[in-house]
Amino acid sequence: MAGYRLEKGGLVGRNETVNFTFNGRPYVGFKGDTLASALVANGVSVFGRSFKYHRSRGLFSRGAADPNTLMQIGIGAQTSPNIPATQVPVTDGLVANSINAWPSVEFDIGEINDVFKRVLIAGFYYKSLMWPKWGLFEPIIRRAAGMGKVPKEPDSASYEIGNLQCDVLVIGAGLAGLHAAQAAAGAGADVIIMESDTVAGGTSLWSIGANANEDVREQVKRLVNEVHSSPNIRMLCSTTVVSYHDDNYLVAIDRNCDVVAVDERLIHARAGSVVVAQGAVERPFIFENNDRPGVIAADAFSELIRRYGVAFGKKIVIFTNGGRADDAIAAAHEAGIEIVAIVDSSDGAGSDARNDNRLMGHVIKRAMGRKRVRGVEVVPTDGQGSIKLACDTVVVAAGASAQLQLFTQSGGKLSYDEDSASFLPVSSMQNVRVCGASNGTNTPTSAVSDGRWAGLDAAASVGFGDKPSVPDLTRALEKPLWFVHQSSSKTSFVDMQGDVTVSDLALSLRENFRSIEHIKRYTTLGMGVEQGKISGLAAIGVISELSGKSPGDVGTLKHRPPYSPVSLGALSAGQKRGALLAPIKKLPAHKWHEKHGAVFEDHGWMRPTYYSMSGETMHGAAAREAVAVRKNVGLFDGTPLGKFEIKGPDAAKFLNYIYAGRMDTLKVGRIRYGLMLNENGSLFDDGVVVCLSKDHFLINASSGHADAVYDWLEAWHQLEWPLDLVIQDCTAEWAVATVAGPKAREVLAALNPGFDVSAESFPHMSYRAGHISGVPARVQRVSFSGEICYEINVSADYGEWIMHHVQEAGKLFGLVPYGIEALEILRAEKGYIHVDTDTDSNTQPKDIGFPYPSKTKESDFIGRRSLMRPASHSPNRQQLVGIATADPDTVLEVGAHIVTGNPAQSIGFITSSYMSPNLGCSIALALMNGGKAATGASVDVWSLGKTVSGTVCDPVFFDKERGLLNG
Amino acid sequence: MVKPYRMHSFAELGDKLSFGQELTVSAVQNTNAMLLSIGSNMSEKSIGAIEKILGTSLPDANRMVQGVVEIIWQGPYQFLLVGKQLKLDDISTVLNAELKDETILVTPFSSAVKFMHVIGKNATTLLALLTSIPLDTDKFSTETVAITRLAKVRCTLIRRAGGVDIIVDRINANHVWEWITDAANT
Repeated sequence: MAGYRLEKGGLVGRNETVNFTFNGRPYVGFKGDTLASALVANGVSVFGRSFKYHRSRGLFSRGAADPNTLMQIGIGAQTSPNIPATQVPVTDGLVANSINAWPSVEFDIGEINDVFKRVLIAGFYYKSLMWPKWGLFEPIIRRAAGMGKVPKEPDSASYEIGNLQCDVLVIGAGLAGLHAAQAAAGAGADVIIMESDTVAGGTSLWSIGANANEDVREQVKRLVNEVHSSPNIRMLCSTTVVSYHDDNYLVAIDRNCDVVAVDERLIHARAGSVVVAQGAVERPFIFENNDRPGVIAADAFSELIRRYGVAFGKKIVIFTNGGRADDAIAAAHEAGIEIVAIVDSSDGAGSDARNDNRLMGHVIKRAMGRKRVRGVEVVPTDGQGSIKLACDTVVVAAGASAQLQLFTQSGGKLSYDEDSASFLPVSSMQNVRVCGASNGTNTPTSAVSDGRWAGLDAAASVGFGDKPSVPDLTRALEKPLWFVHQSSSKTSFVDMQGDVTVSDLALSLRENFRSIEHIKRYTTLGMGVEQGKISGLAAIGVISELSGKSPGDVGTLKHRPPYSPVSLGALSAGQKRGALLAPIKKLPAHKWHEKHGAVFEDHGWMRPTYYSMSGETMHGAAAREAVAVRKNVGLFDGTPLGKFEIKGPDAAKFLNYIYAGRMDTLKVGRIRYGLMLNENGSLFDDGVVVCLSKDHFLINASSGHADAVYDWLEAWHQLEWPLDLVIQDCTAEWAVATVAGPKAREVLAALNPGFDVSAESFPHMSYRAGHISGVPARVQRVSFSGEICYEINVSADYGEWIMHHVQEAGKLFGLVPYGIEALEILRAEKGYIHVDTDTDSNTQPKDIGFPYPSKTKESDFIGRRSLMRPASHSPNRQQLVGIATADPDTVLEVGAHIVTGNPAQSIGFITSSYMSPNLGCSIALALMNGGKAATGASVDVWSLGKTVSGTVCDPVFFDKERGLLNG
Repeated sequence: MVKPYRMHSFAELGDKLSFGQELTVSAVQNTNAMLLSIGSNMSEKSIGAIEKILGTSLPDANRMVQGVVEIIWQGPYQFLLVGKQLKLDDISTVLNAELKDETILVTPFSSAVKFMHVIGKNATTLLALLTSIPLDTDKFSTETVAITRLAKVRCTLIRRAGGVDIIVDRINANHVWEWITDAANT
């Protein structure tokens, strides 16, 4: 062998070299290599530094389970942190860097933490760094914590979303998964297989496994070809299922999209039934310095040789607990690697005689070396003495850890099996079953039987074929060695990624943490990228031995999605970015507004906040518009108001339930203001109800609550009061041009709507239907500004036309368009509330001056009972008041507190505040404790760092007699 | 005074997108529609009267039928009627007259909903990027109606021969159009 690359063997493309860099140095690999295999082939041992102690770390495991090989991949806009090198296919020009090391991975100043690890134990920050105050240490800890760097430039990668449906979804394309897919397809089901590796076949492609031979690999290759060519199987490689939700809805990430220029695809998959065949990974042995570069799991060792043609080391010691080392031994022989010793912790009783010079009944007490293993110390499990062996690699075969994270996400339950020393799947609430190594099988024959059963069972559950009988399966008998007791617990790592040791787990037990979930949070066990894939079962075993409980009683950690990290870009896949992130609602007359200089803001809809003329500021424009409305007439686009028609013999009765006030007495052609309360008696929405005809009403809800009000109406109708009525949401059908001001009537008359617009014939709070230039129109005389006001409703396709038409008609009368900001000033001058601005979740009708329930309303309504509570009658409730500042030019800040006493206590807060151009002074509305009784009192308001004096007053600042409104 | 003119909500974006020969998305201009809601307690006799006026039985859930106008299921006891304006006006008048004592509501809906046609071999490929419902013809057959979410808003999809129709609330029509454009461009 030259270097660590074997001269022959492996499944890589030896004729296709690939150039990449790692930590600035150039390297060469082969097509088909992962970054990890290529680095090992080039003799790299130290891949990175550990999270807390900055210990040198190298390759340990394979796939998503490896805890030590997190890398920063790519540069500039394309850089991504914390990607395991075992999952990065090496490509030409790839740039990879170690993380968590400075100035370099070879010499890292952070390694000083390893010297102080006796102090930096689990939870040390709960017991130290408190004096003089935590705030001094927090910035340092924050800078030190975290791994990798996020890109500063916008992401230039492209992402797509995909939706797939199938009868049977198979997760994992190993031996069992492939057979499951083939069996299900054979029964007639439509099947999708998702495999996170770049190729299908799983470990059988390169593993011999117990009692198997070369033929297994050839069988798998044939099987893969058969599956690829099956018409009702879709195989997706490089596709990782990351989460499992209700109703067999799963999310997967496809990193090998068949669409050009799409880097990742987020797949939403919905399956009739699911087969989990995720396989198993080797768990670590826990001994002193088991984290050093050079210690590797047996399955990863074998994979390097047979799949990548790479020898991990030249002189190896194999550490086993009796069973699983055969494949690694065979692989080492094939590669011509010297096996210095096989250390077997079992006593060999009952096993076949072995002719491989094992050290039976021995364990590795510690690995020696810092940046690479250079030897091990071996001791008998009982007795005295030790042997030191020189080696550069320790291959550990401790037992399998079945990958059941997705199964448990589905709601599946696990049970500890003593014979195999593993947690096995028991049952799930969903249509899912587990097969293969995930189900504890350890031979190809069992994997095939189990896979076929799972496929047929999955297909039968959705109507294809007959339900099969459950096969007899072979599972390994394990004698677990959870940790080497002779080793120093302080450097016996259970979770390498989180630097969690046996000593940390023992500490947590001493400190009386009993639940494994508490131990996890105290020690950070399983909280890294690896998420307990190999550390989970190892930790359960250690805790079980330390506490005397069985692993079954210790229990498992809860596995939450995602199974492996998902890029934020993929989560934003499809069109969920930029302007497409959320629906933007535009007014039908949007172009008309633009033409008139509207400055838009997102108020749920894109609405004109003001209309800018000659470079006006917002305050200047709003003041001008508000004055124009009070002096002449203004035009406002009220289209976003919610509009719901309710019709039926029980319509009035229903409205009486929905509103705090009476609606059953509303006459045809009249309009009534209404307050909707929630069950707590607090304000939910305010609006108006129009009686269109007998048993036919129109609700206008506030634009901000339109969707919520519609849901509210339907929910109460369908679930509580299934009365004889129908409800329709007509919000989108109607555009609304609002004409307000002393000359509004003249403008309406100029439009010639076909009915008498005089004050006597068309009083305030009434409704008329007519036509404007032949277009059907509904006109409501309601006002949010306190002026004579008409809301002209026409079909929304005519929305732009009506604004144009009214503007033309209004020119004679000095009509100007006005926006949201001017409207807010006008309504605040009148003391009209804005629900959720001038109210909060506690505000009840009486607090804003509506003494509900009224004496005349006998029927129940939503919230009525809550209004009876003593707290609803407390005189100290927060009530709506006005605040007039002592200095009329001082405008209070919204949210500023009304204070009293020393030290100052808050007794209320400012909810709306403006400079009123019509009154020439500042005005404010507030919610204040016992506000009504405090009218006339002087108050202090803490606003923008200063105390401002003011007086509590009537919230109606303008036209208190309502003379204008009824004009 | 300004003579009335009717604006389609897609006017600013153009009304047709073509993506080669395999995919065309077009906005349907000037469709006329009404929303019909009937009370859940309505008698069989009254429903029969409605069906007689409409010229066909009311469609079952998730279906549409063609009578004197097209009738598209929109939810329990709620149907979208699509056809010529005069015919819709007739129907509205007759329904209100003959069933005036029943719980029935017919309201104009021509502005409230907008229609798009997605036509071509790649129609379902495009829609698979935008909606999660199964689009195979055996599950989503001709004249099947699906009320679902597309581009994060509520839409009605109707399978037609040769493509799929999308009905979307006017308020969200531009947003859906932009999503489709963006998806089709990939």
